[in-house]
Amino acid sequence: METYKTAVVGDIATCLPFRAMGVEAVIAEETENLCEAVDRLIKSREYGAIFVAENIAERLSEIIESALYKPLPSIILIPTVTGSLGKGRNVIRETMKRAAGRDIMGEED
Amino acid sequence: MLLTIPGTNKSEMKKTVSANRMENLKLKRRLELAKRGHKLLKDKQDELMRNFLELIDTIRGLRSRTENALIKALRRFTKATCELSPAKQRALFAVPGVQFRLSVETRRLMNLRIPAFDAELEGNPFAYSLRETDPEVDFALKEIASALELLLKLAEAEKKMSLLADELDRTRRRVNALEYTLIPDLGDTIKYISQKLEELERSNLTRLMKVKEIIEAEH
Repeated sequence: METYKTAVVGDIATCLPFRAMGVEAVIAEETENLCEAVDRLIKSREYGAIFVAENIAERLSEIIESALYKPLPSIILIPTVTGSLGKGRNVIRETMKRAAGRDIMGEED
Repeated sequence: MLLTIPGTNKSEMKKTVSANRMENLKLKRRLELAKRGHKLLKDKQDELMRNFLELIDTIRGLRSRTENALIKALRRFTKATCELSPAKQRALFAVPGVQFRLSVETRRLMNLRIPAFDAELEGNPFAYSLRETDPEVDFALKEIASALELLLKLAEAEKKMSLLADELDRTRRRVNALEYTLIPDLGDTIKYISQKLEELERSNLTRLMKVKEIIEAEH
């Protein structure tokens, strides 16, 4: 059993309540090079889970993908105050495509 | 006698084998092994798929529940703090009173190592100025805490999902390589060698008959 840290990456409205709960926050508006900052989080191997706000996920897609099939950290997309963009569900679908070799869900959702 | 086998150039690897019984025996053993390996991998693939589909079902529900809970909590928090200036907000929560630690245990599923998360909160989360904040903030933070629990479950489940998907992909490639390349190739080669050997047998027989004829004609 090992102890890791948790981080959240997003806009200030999403980050603040997490920070209040003791989760480390990388605030997008205040970070100059967001990609680099997140990359550092991953490479430090100190983080077990990283929550990334959906609205900035595109800017980080490469980094997120690079960590996808490693045991740690687990990076998941979270909705912001303005509501869900459905990107989290897309991730599930993309993963299913990889697992099955083709899109087996069709038009279901 | 080294030969390039015709008909096996389906695969890119060019095989040169010598057509003799030893080689044939070796190939037959390899084919047997490949078939057994194929069956095992296929079983593994089925089991992985079963696990994966089960997991997908739970993740679907879990994700929508988590998203709803989180959005609700975030909105509550935003409403509760909207009267404060951004600088004030930042200052209030700059130094959290809690340490959020994640203990990670590794579980095994077949050959995979899958992390399992457990949260540990240390300290008092309400370590901010109570005079300057609305009591609503406390409630919002409680909601955030329960949303955080769900988020961790989701993070654990989605990590397991990706790891399973990756393993499934690799296993499928192996199964396919065995099924469509190696096993047919070996089969073809074995067939070719057997035919070659039979052919040698026949030519030898005719030669002997011919020799016998010549000897008989001389006497």
